[in-house]
Amino acid sequence: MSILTAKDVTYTYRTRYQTVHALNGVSCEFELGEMAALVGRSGSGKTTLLSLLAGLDLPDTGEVLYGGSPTAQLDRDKYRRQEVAVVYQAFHLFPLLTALENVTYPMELSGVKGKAAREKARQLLELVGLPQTIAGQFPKMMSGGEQQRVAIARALASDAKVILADEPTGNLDSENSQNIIDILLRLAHEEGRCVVLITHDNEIAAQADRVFHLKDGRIVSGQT
Amino acid sequence: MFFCKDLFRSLARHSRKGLLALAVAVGLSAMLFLFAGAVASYQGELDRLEEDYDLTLTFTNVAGTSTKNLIIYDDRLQAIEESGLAEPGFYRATSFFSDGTEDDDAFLGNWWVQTVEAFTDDSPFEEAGADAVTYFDGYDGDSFFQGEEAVCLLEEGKFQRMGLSPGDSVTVVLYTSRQGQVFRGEETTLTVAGTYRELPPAYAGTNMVCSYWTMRRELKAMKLNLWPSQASMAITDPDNLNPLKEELKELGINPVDRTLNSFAEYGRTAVINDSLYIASAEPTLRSLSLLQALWPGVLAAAALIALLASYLLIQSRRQEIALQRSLGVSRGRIFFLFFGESAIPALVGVGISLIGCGLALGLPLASLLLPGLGFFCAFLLGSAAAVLLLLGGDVLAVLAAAD
Repeated sequence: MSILTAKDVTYTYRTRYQTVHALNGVSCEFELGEMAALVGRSGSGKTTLLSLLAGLDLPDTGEVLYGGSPTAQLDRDKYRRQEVAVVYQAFHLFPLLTALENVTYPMELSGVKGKAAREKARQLLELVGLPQTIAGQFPKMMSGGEQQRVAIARALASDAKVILADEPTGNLDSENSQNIIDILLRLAHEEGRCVVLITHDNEIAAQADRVFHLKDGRIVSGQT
Repeated sequence: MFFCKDLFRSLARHSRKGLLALAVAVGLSAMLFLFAGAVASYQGELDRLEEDYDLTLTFTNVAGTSTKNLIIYDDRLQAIEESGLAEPGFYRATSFFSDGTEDDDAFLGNWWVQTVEAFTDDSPFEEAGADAVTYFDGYDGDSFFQGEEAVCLLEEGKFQRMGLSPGDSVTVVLYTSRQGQVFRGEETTLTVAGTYRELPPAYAGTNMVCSYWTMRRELKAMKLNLWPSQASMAITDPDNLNPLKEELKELGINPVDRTLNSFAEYGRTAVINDSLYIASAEPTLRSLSLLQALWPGVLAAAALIALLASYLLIQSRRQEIALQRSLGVSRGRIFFLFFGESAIPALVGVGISLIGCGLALGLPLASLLLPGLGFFCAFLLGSAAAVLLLLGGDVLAVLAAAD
């Protein structure tokens, strides 16, 4: 059974002047132990699909299933705390928390505090290839690559099985981009997590185990 | 506990925004308190003026040169009393009495021999000096002059000549007069409540003293009029000045005409000592009225600015709120976290300006509490509205906008 499934999902949002059919009957499955890429032009529905997979919203029709259970029936706050984590293009670290505090924050939400949380956070920072000296630094003191690694470490802090990455290399140079992709691939292949990656970059998409092409709210290739 | 730690850590981390919120709260609430303090201050000044001034309505002769030995319609006094616009002050009336056994013709030819004075208080005795009056057991000045019992005081010598004892009663026939004509009443019984040694020379020849109310009641029961010769009334509320002047007009009581020199008749002239009070109070009242008119607008403006400031401060952290949502922090926790971060500086700020304005400027704290509470609530309302709006927003759209 797939860990995360979108089944015939549609989603429409309305602005003051227009109605946008962001997703039109999208179906896809994502497995543990693999990295899948969502590729498409701007406005193709990638971010909307990511939002639904992250449980930030519910589809108009169809359903998103996590572990076989519809997310509509789950406590979605708990789902985002413990089962799924999102990595963003702009990193979105808490600017007034240190790297270590950014990583321990999700743990504290789940009740892991103090020394245990800090120890685990250090391990995660090491896992993503950051030196221990980075722990006490604030985001504005870090490079883009370092911030994105901290963001990935934060995503791992809750032991989430699913990592959703929205253009994680968008603001990085090629070297750092590859470093980040390598980390995500390692998380998928060596740690058995499910990684779903949104990207415009075909080179990055080519490194994924599966690629879903979206166009005008539909999956045009790679659909299950 | 984590929530509290999270709250205070976030407050400490966002110290700049917290200080900004604090500054807004201190500044705006101080402005509000100073305004409220100014209103309270002017009101206090007016209240002090009211206390310091004894506004009185005094009946006089037409020229305003005499307040005694007048003839005043008692029903005019009653009408003013009943209107509630002034209260009885000092009234004096003179009447006559006989013991009922005297020959009427002889008495009426010599009616000034047995004189009874009626007062509303014991000020004439105070003029006469200490120990001028001795009350018997169970009586004092207040119960004598304001009570319901029909009582009298007898001149000491008369009391002894009559061989009376404390608590005895005397039966008298009361008379009244008008324009030299004497009207005989009926018998009435008055309890002797005390004796007096002397009265000031103006009351020479008085044998008996009654309370004004006793004499009014007794003569009214006999269908006779009481003709006060002196009357002043207390105006306790300056707001009654204009209605009182209207009432006096309707009763045919005119302001003093200093151009005339004739003796008063029938209490048709009176003077109110309000000119100094008005000269002092009116500028204060004008300032107070202006401030009171502006007050609702100032309050609304302060509340609106507080609401907008708190709203915008929260809005500036919309990405942080969206990030918290994406990390799985519940809506309730986010609400109370950000709401608490807004409430604490607001509360501290209002508290600082409340204490500052209260202690440093001597403003009454009681008058500041309500505006302070209103301001604080407006601040919280703005914060709550901002957080609630942001909680309903599209998380990824907010975060993407920052990209």
